[in-house]
Amino acid sequence: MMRVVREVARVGWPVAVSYVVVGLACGVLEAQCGLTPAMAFVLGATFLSGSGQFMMSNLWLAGVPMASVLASVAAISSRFALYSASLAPQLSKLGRREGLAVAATFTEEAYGINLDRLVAGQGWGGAHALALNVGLLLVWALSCAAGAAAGAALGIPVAVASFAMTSLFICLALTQPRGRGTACAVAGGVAGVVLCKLAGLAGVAVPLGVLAGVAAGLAGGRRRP
Amino acid sequence: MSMADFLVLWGVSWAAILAYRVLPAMLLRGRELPARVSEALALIPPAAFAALVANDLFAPGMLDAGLWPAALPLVVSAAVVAVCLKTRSMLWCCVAGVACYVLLALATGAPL
Repeated sequence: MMRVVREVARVGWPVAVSYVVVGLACGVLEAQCGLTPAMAFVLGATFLSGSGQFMMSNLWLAGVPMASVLASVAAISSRFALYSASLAPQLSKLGRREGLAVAATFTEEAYGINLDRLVAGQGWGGAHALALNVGLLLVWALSCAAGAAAGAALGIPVAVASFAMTSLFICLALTQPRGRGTACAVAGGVAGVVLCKLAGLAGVAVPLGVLAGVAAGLAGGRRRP
Repeated sequence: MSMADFLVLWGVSWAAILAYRVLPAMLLRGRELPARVSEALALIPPAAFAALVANDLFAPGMLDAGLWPAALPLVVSAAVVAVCLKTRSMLWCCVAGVACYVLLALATGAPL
């Protein structure tokens, strides 16, 4: 058990540090919407998506009707279905309950780490995946709660805190297995998002960008006869 | 936000994202997938992370505040790419990204 915790901590602590910074900023924003620290903790521990939580708060503060907030958050969260589908082959190797628990608790960063390590094997199993998910879940939720408790006194520039996440995503994108298909998927993902945003479809830009990237990767990775 | 509003917002959002997280993994569990489908699933991670980076860096009105505020995140991202290619470390990428962003913004007077 301790060996699992040590291995997970060694791999996950850079992500945890970024979660503290971004979670604090997220909690501050949630406090402006009227969330108490307990509400911020519950939301962070269950919803587990910074982009969705930031969107909820921003839309609420802008006076957007509840139904529109829910629709926007549901749309931007749909990318998790694609992550889940790509995790399925690895989760099939775990017990049913363990696989369900891992599926229910992953964040984007944990998804990237777990997928890489489950594919590589080398001793990373269901216990490691679940421990990473739960550890990051607690760090995120506690940081959101702390931010909600501290309120505007923290003065964290959101753009700076958010760039920590952007840097993580750049690293996760560049450390994928290399090949023509991957390169085309990356290009397609970027192009899909840019085109969606230019077309006024910012709410669904990421899931549509992912689909465009997968299509580009399949087309570009195909061997010519 | 009232408690009733919070319960609706939290309950519906959580139900949706939980379904997204769990249903595909459970429905595809144990199924022998065609090679092309497996290939498509393997392309999701690079496409997703690239899409997330693009989502953070690009916005239709990004030039409204000026060329440098728009270019700052792109310049810093180039630095993060260089650090990643050298170190392949999430920690160093995160540190480099935040440090470069803050230093460049302070040095050039761009808003934080």
